Amino acid sequence: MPTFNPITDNVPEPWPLLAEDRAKCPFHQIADGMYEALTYDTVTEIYRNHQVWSSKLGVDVAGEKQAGQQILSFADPPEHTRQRRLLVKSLSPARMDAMVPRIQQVMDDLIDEFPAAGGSFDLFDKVANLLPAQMIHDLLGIPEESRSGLLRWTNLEVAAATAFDQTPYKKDMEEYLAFLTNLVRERKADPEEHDDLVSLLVDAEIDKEVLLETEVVWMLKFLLSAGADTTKGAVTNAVYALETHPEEKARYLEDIDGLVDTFVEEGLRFDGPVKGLLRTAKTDTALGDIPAPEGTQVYNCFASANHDPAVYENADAFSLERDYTDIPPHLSFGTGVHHCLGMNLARHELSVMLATLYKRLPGLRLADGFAPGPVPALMWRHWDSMELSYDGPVLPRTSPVH
Amino acid sequence: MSEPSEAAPLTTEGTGGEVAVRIDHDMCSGTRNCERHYGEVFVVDHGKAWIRGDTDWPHVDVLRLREAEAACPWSAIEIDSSSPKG
Repeated sequence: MPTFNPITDNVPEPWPLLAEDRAKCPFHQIADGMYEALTYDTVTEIYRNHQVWSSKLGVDVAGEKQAGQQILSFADPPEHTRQRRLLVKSLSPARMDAMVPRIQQVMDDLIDEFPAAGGSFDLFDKVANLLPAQMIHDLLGIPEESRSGLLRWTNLEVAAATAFDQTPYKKDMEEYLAFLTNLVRERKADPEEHDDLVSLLVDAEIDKEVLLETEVVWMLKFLLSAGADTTKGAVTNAVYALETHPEEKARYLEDIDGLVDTFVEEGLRFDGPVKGLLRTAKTDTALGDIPAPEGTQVYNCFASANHDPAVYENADAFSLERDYTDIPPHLSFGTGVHHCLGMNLARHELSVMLATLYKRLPGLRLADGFAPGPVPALMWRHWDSMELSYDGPVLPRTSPVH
Repeated sequence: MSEPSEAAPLTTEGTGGEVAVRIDHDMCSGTRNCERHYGEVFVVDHGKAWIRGDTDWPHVDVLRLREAEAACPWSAIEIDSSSPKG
């Protein structure tokens, strides 16, 4: 058994514990029939080998999804390939580059609401819960009047995913599914052309076979939570990392435009929002010397792989001196055929949020005496809140007022 | 498209024998999956994949090219060959 078991242990700074386990062995048993992979090489190898290590059979502890819900992260090639090909053009780097002015505008609108004289706020409530959701709603073409209700359901769904008792969520989740099903049916019946992802999926033909309605609904559900929840974790984790490393913060404030892309990558590497995901063996295989019969699960621990000293110098340090054009990419977006579909959007959102926060809010810092707690979750690394303070005056926006 | 300067020039299109390779930079997200699958042909530089200038076209393995094509999560690689699909 490892020193740090991701199933049962939850600490603010797992890095030294993960380092101790990783140095002993790249694999440790963490439950009956479940192992963790801790090194950059082993996680990369398992992620690339989708012929053996299935996503369809389970990427979380809930196991295989029902038919109709096996989409994207919960599917294997060739179904996964066909589904993903539908979406890649809409989320391509070229398309996402074109969204930057809109992202900046949404961010500036949010900061314009801040009291000019200065004050304190929770980064989740005022920015992180709102901007990524707004952007994914834009991409999906969600009507303005439905957005706040939809965001509430998405947040409840994420909470339900880690809750032992589903009863309190049941009614809301039924309403959520009914809303999405209705949205799909309305769009199908709408003769007008819409340039958004809901219409793209509704119109989609996969090898001349239209997606099932349930598949479209579950894809939308997936895009809504994946698009909002991970990015909100990423931005708050990055801010906390910077705020707890004063030398790096001073360096960043000297050259925000020059360092923001490095800050985004280093934030994702140092403390990405996905702690780890499972893969399940389709056939009898092995993890190093350990036999892994069919059905064995591996928890691919990104939090450990991203801190692997075999790949990153001084790996447990948060440093804006790393040159990400010259070092291996972190695994916070995964690797292989399931590489995060939202990576291009997420990078722009993070870059706009992290630059604008520190440019427009003078003296931005953790609120006096504030220390966040890590939300207990096997798969995620999220703080429970992020209380910040700033001094006035809030500096002017750079994007035009909408 | 401007190319990073290197001794052997990097390109987004390459042809040799009966195979043609094309990388779509509007789609390429620099994930390095192609480089990991077939580093003798693909290299990632400044966030985009390129075809190496020193690619040994007469000895290029079409099956490995096909693997790199299939491994690209952004469907940014196109392989055109008279050989059967791998």
